[in-house]
Amino acid sequence: MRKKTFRALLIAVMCIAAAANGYSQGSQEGSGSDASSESKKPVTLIFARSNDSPLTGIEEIFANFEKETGNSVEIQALPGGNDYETVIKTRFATNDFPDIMWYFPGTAQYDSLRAETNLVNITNEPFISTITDSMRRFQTRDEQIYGFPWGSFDTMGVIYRKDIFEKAGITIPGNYEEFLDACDTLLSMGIVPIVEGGKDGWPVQVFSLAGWETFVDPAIGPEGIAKLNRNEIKLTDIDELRDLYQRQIDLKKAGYLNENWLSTTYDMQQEAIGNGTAAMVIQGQWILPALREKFGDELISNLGMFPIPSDTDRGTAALYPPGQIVIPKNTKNTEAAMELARFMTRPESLEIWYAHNPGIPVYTTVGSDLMPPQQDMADFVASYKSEINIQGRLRAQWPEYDRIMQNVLIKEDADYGVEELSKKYIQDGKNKKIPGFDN
Amino acid sequence: MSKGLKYPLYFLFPAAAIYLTFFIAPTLSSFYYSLTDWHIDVHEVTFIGFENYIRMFSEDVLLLALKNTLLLAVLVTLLQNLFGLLLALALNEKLKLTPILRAVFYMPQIICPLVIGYVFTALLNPEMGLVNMLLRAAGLDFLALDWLSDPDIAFFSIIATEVWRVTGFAMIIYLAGLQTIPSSIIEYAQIDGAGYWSRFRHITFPLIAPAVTINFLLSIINSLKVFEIVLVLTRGGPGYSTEVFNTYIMRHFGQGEYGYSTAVNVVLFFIISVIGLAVLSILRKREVDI
Repeated sequence: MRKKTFRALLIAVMCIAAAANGYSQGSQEGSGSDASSESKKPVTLIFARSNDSPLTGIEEIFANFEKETGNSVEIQALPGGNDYETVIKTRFATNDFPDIMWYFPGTAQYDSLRAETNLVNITNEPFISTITDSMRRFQTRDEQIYGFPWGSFDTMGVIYRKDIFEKAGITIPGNYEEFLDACDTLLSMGIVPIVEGGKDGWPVQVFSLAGWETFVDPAIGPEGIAKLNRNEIKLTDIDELRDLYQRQIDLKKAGYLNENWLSTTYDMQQEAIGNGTAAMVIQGQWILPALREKFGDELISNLGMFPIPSDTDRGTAALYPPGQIVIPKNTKNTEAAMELARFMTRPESLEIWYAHNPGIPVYTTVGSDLMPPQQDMADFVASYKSEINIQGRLRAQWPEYDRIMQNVLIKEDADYGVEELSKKYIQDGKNKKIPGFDN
Repeated sequence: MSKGLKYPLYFLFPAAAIYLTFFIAPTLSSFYYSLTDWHIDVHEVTFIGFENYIRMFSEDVLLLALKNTLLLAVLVTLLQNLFGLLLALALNEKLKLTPILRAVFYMPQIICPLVIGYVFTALLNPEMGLVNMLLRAAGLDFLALDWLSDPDIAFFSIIATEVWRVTGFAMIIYLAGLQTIPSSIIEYAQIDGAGYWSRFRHITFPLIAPAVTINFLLSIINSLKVFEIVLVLTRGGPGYSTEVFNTYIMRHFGQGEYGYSTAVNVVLFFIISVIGLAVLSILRKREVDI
């Protein structure tokens, strides 16, 4: 028995000694000169993106990066819209980080992603100084920057086919009534006036997001936004919001939307505009690169764009800031991911991007040729009124807004929409412990 | 070593340790987290008592998800068992094609639900889907509906898909049950002049009661936990029309509401436990021994 115990103890001691030896050898190897050659071994970076974020051009930049550094980049396309947010937040919660990723715009996302804990602080990176002043301010909170912008300032509004408008004798509407008249004329000609994409959900929310700046902002002013941020007024108190939802419902009731709007996807919206079966789509300019890829420059030069008009004038352009690229700091490839970030923001990489995705650049080191609808809106912004999309100005978010707006159109009930949105907005503020939302 | 056991009790320790660590401990901790305001955007988790549970009563979407989940569980359970039993009775006969047909009907069960979801998404496409194309070809245009995007129909499309997917499983269990019935009992009944329906009602059905119990129980539990097929086919939409408990939980978890979504999960756990135990005790009573 004693012999057995002794033997067991001896084996245990030998195991521990072997393990300790292995560990110390491992650490010596790790700290030795081999480590540097190890760290320079080519790696494959995972770049996560939502499948509806622009991709054209990025593959070329990544190929150049691979040529120069030997590191390759695998693009991981995840479901788009709100699903992307869901997937990313869930992955972050379980410490399952991509090496680098595209995410939604604005510093409000720093809260969602717990930037201080999870993301690389890039405030002092040299390329930050090449971002335009307004955009750098938009990316900065408490003097810290955790994401660099990727893309251009987009606008949301009505994208239309010039040839159909010309054939119907329609000019750009000067007010909302003229907009409805235009829809009526198109309908009487047997053309779908507006193609709506209800299947994917998120396209349905664009009308009210683009319309907020035209109809709601003038009614509540900056003080109203400040009060919403402090939860001193409720969304249900804003009659103009209810009225905005009712306008969208009325478009459906009048037959101005495609009949199969609930089974129409974002892709199908593009097809309808590209093929000319619909005259207008209420979307953001982010649709343009995809349209150009599918239908070429001929279609793009045949498109124009205008904001959702108000009852009295041409309305206000809704600006949608570009998304951002962030780098999780707790991955084994953080340094290589930073190298990629620096590569992506070089002038030659940015030139590739803007050549494929024309828009007003957010970097001072590059220029871009605008597509005709972008030029329309840039002229409008320069000479008329514009405002940043409401969601970029609120501290609490509107979770499930796509679902709510789908339901508003299904139920044809504006009151439901305002009440449900208000409830979600207050709950989100409460969840985030934003002052004023506690009760 | 305990009396009657052929191995020492400490053989159980590794399995028990894994079970405790990866199942019991997380389950118990989820009860605690359901009483907190744990959220992705805040750093401190605070105990808030039953606030999450109280909030559930004001969430119309959750009540709709509860209604949908229960309706789906009832309909899928009934239809799965009805079709499963009919198939089992048909394929219990010795026909040439019996082995092939058994494999064919069981096949959906071994295909990943996500794959089935994608296949049915294509089949049920209103414009290009095979279902509507066949209906139109047969002159039944009025039946060529928007199967997954019409809020009045989408939920029933999900139920039909799920029934198609799981019927093979019920069939196999029933077949196993049918094959345990001694052929002599059936033969005696035939000699006594009992017809097919009479034999089924008084002999076959009572004797496959254990198969009925296991099928109903598993079917109810799995239907209450339905998730992947809804996620792929409709994602709970359009609007919230096909929302079920697990899609609701996933969405709130995805929004970072960990405390609240855990509370909803705890409620689902109790619902499944109560319904499962009730069904088990009712069905067990009618089982008979040969």
